[in-house]
Amino acid sequence: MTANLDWGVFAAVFLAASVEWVEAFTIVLAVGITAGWRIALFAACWALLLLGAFALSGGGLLLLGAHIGWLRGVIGVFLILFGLRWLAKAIARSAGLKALHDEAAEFEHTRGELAHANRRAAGLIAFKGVFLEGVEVCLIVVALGAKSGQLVTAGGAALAALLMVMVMGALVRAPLSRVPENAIKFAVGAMLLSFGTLWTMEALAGEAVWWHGDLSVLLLVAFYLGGGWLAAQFLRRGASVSAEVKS
Amino acid sequence: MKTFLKALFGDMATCLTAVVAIAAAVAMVLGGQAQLARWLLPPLLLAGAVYLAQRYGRG
Repeated sequence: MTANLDWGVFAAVFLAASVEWVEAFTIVLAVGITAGWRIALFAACWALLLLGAFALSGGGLLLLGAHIGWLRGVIGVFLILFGLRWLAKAIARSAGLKALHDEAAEFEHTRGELAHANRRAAGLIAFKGVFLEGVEVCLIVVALGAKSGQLVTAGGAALAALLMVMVMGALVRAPLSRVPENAIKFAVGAMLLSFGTLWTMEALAGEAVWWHGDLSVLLLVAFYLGGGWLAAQFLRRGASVSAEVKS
Repeated sequence: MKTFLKALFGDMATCLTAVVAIAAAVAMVLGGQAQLARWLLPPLLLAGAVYLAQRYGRG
């Protein structure tokens, strides 16, 4: 862990965590309004405590005695898995192949689930929502933070995102449906995939494999963003042509 | 447990796409073509993301 703040790591974690926390907030909001705030906040706090322990133990295990080559490889593969999923979903949504994520619809769906649930079941829904969304945040924090020696920066970015979502949620008191989730997922997917590509190749062939070391990550981000955007335009055109042929 | 594992690793199609791209890069590095592998891995992963996007679109 260094004193220098890595803004690339901070931005990637902050954006990724914001998207996940908005989803968790929607579920807690639905539970709070339907079953009461006490049970919703109690369950959310327990989930956050468990996530904190999960992140600390995961980060500790990775940092303690792990060979740097293996660490790069494992983290790189995890980031590729995350980045691939996020970028693919963002491309599908940009191309109109998949509906945009709608927090208002998610809110109504959760309220519908809660209509016949007792207090214990409502607490479990809030706990599960926060925990499962938070697991992704933890993995991104541990992966980006441990490899770059910026575990504190990454953890701080995730907490800052949580604080921002909580403050905005408290002010709005409604599902945060105006967050440009797909644009954020596009950018974060490209960033995660870029870090994953960089570290996986470094694990396989050494640091010298890239042109200017870690600076190559900027070229990779540009490649994935540009390529993903072009692919989305191409898929959108293909979908509209096939729709015209059918009609 | 299943939901937890899915949150960690994603669905089977995502895992297989990542495995194929990484396995191709590993094979090239083992064959002494590390410089070629660094050029190959990003386009392979982007192609994988486009394939998965079409898959997600089909539901």
